[in-house]
Amino acid sequence: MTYAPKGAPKALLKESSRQIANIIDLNKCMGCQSCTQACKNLWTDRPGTEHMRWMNVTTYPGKGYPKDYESMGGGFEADGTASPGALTNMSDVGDNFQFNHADVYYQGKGQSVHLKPSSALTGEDPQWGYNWDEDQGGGDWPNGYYFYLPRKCYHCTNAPCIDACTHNALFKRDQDGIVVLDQDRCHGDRLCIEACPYKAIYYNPVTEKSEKCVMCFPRVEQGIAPACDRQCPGRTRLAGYMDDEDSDMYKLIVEHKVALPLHPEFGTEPNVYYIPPFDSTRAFAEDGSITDEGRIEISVLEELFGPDVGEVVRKLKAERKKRQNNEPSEIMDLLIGRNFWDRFSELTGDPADLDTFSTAAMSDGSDLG
Amino acid sequence: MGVIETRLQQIRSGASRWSRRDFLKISGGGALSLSMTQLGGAVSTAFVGRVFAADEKIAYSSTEDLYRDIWKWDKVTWGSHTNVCLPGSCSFRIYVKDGMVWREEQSVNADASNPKYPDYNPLGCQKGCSFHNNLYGDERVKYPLRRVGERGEGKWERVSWDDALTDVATSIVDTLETQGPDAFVMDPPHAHLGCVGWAGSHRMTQLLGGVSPDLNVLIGDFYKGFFDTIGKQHTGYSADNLFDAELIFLSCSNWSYTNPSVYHFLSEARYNGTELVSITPDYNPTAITCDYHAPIRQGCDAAFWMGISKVIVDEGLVDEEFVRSQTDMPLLVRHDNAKFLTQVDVEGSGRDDQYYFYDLTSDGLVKAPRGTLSFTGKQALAGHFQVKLANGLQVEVSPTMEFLVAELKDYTPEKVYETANIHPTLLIELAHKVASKVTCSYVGFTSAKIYHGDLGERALVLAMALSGNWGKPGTGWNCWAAPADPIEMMMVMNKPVKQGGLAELGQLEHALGEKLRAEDPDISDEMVGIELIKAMTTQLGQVPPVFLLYYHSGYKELYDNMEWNDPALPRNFTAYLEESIEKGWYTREHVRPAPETTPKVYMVTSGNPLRRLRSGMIKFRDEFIPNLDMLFAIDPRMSTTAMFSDIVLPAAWYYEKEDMTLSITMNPRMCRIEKAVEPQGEARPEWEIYAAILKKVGEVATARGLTSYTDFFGGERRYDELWNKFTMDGQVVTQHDALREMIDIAAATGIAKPGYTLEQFDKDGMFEQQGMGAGFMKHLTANDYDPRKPFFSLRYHVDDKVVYPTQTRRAQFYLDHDWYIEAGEQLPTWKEPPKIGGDYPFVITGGHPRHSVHSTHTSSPGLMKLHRGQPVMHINDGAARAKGLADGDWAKVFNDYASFEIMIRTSPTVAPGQVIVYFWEGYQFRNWQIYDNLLIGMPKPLHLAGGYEQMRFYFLNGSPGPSTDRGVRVDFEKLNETAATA
Repeated sequence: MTYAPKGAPKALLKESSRQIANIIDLNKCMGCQSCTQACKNLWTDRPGTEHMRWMNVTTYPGKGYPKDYESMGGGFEADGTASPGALTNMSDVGDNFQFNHADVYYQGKGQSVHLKPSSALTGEDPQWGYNWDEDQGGGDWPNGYYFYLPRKCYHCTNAPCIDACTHNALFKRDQDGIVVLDQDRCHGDRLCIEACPYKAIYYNPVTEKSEKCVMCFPRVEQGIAPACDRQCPGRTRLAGYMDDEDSDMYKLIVEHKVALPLHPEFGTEPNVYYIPPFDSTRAFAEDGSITDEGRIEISVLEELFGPDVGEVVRKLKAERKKRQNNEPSEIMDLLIGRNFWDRFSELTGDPADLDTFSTAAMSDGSDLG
Repeated sequence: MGVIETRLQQIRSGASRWSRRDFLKISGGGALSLSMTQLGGAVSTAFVGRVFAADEKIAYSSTEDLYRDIWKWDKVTWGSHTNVCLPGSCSFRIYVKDGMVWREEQSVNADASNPKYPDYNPLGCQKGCSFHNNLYGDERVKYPLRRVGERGEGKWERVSWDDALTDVATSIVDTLETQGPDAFVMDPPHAHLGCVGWAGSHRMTQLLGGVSPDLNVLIGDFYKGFFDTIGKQHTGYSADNLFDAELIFLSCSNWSYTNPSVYHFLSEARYNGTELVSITPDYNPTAITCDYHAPIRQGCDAAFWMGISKVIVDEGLVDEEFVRSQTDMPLLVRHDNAKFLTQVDVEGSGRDDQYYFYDLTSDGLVKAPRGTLSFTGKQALAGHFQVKLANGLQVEVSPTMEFLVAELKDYTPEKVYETANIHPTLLIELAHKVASKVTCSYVGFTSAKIYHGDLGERALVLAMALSGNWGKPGTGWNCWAAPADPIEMMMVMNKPVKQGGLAELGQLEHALGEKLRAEDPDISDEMVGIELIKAMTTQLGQVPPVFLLYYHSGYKELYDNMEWNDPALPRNFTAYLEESIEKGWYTREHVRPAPETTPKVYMVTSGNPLRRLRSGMIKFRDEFIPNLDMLFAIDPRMSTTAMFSDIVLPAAWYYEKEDMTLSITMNPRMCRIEKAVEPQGEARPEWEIYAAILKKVGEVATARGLTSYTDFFGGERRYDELWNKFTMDGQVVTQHDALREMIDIAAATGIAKPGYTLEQFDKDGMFEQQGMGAGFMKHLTANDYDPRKPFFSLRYHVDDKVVYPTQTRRAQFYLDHDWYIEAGEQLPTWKEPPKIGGDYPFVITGGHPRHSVHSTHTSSPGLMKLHRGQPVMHINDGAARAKGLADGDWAKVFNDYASFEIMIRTSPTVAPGQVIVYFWEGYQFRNWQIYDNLLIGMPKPLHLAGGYEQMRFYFLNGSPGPSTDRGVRVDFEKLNETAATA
């Protein structure tokens, strides 16, 4: 909605004509952090945002990002009201390490100093930072296991951050359902951070306001996929609108029901869905022999994706089996996504084609390079 | 007052400032003030339905404009990051704002070979997506620097380009005059440098008559086992070829770290039903998406593949037709001396490389054709036959297969479990799949860095031979191939393509072919091509790298340590080397600079030997560098080696210079790199730096009244011609000129479409490789190149029965070289890995990290914020516990030779006897004691063998690898806290 009338019920702020959504395929994610960097280099390299990773990837099992977010509360109370969880601090959200390049290169100190990080928070050796527990995982040798879990704001249909803000700074855009945090209205109270059970909102200590993933709406409104989606070399992503019933994304989420939201029990109705890891590496028995069982127990996946994940895993395994028997499988074809652009339905634009976006073109209409 | 009202009042009375302070406190929830949490659960019920502070009619659009305003730019150019990694060639668009590169994003313009296969989009990775951070990063060198303190001390003065060039040129002239050109050594540049720079640096060295150790062999990327078996290593496939495989083995590799741009072909093949197997000691970040993890004991891949082969043989699953046609399995071997039966044996004269089959059709001895793999009879694969030799002796012979079957006796599933930690149930299941499925492998460069990695490769190819798994869609083991003519021809061409520069080289090849065919009419085009590249290699001054380290850098004492070598080798490295030189296997063309020459000038151009050379921060730093008059680095960034240099010349980086990428089979396309912005500070593109150095050399020499000097070949070289020759008489002066010439080469050699121009490239930003070029890669890959099909190698051999460039002209598993027989390696076999570094309980492995390619990005702040920002060593959680260490603790790691200190990172996915450290810069370690110091890089002395067709050296291939570092023995102990915080 464009205006928030005084006293507007929060329900109005949550309304939208369309809803953009994502699928992230965890079977394809290699933890390379290209999405993280695509986002960071676009949105969070400004002063006060350096510690933010609107798009982030961590190793699961692990403490996640922000650190321990799953145990920080938020979401809703039993009566449906937003529930205040804990706040994150700068260390939880990954810090912003500082380095001593000049000291090493140019101060004549020779090999007595070495290049190392220090915490932007304490000035000391960091004890925690972004992706600190990369590739550690869980289980026991030889059946240790992990997978990568990319996360961003889920632009929830029932977003508790919208409820929590006392200034109506959070709202869903009408045209795409993207949850935007209005920088004029924000007072930096961080009630939204407390309320978000995914802790996908971050505090900017320079502007003293909170900021969050904007789902690249300046791109989306030009028909271009969000940077994290378009720049993912693992081709983990599908993006589009939930009302586009012809899209590959829609088919996987609605028709085939193989994509699930993270922590559905939070009740926020996220609009980013995951293809769960379904055919994990075969485990070893105690005597060392190979078994038919995967290393990732279904209970591990249920903790993340709820009770429906067992059925999804069963279905995906059966579909892959079809391909091994040379039978067709629409689900596997959709997940392969031979043509990259089929994954983005309406969002297939190329930013390099947008010459009107040139500041030069806008100011003086000069020719573009 | 209600709780919400209370809360609001608290906030309005200055809570936002408090909030800021709270956020900047390190401790967790305990330090929070004025948050909802502290107001208690009761507050929550008040949320919905409340009337809040929203004002009527305040538009939300201003915030939207704020973010829209960020997403603006001034111009867009094409970019890429040369081939800093393999395969590289990720096409990017570079967005420039306010005269600086603001960001980069993949162009997403890579088509599928055809719609049945996944396309290559979007290509790229976190490093490429962040490269502008490197451009403007703290490690950037922007001005010429002259050392004023001790080497490595970090005391510099900024000098003019002219002063810096004069320093460099003066030392070059001094060296040419006093020591001769062999005392000028160029550190082999990596493809990091860019195609233009790569060509230019070798062109410069070649014109000076200097020496450069071979890059591919030096960095430990030369696959000796494949070379020994099929006579070549450049047999790549395209990434989409994986989609045609039914079974994929990922061995000695970790694509999640090293191949992110094409990783998706693995996950997509898997969705398509393909099964993935990862053979790796740790359950690595790529193994996590595989169906099977084969938790191999480090260095024991040969046992695994021999075990697979034994199951295939024992169960009668051998593809006999493939084995008969492609391999040496039917060739007869004498029982008395373990040698192939030859024409000289049988007839008393003739060729000593004419071998024999026992033909079941005619029931007799038949000469194996040397010019084709076709054979009309049916060769015996088993049996014992008596042959009467010309000298009257009666000897017993058997087909090689008979010897192989005997060798395989030691590889029962039970024994493989004991040696290699692969359980019989897993081994047998996988063997059945190999025998019945279209099987592909990817063997990573780690294989080439394992002491007995050659045996692992030979054993893998054996299993593929027995199952008929190469030369067909969906097969291969991929050692990469690249149509690199634009680079290689630019190193040696005398004049531009349009003036006949390539024709000259073509005439040379033709003449050589005539000569060789006169000597041996059965020689293949491929073998002629190899002879040509051997000649070019010598001309370029490219030499086996092990000699520079052995003779000039003090590595002799390490290499000669018998305790650290294979106990089956009866002599030390020096004895093998002396015998090799005495027999003429390695000659004075290879041993350059000669032992009696002291290298005086060492040029580094986008290389980092002090990071790259194993134990380099001890040996190379302390025994090679001190003898130099001039160590200069042409580099865009301050590497560890640049820190030790006398002069640092700032090079332009990607986006600041004209360049292109090199097509590699895995990603067969070439990308345009445009100059999006002016170089930082006074940085210059490399081609122009090399030209400036040569011009200055001419000026300095002329000023001193010098005219010429004598080169290694006895020829005279004129100082005043160096620049003219480099620039083809002033026609190729700039980086842009050079790029234009390279595109002309690409078009002329069929790599690009005929008539393709730089102007068209500027429009397209990227072009698909059209062919394998006119150089040696065309023959080695041995298949037609069609951009509309997935590519695989070796088809000419399988379908057209073209011979292999080996001693027996067949895929050769039996090497009847005296040294190999003596060492017990005439057949693929498993040997216990030697205890390099001493008798310690842990093996160290490592390699290419996730967040950097070599050291290019290790010290880039943006990427260092994606992990702990400092070196870590990965250890099994239980193994760490047993030593009293926990995650985040510091350890001292040591072996007989060196030690270093490092933070540990524990995981149950690391094998209990293993520690893993990936690449870091030397100066990222305490006291710059880099972990590489422990690694030694022990070359396998056996690889000095020669006098055998495939045991030869040429550009990128052959000779011992001095970066053999996987599986070096170490131990570690906990560092006490005071040491850790020192």
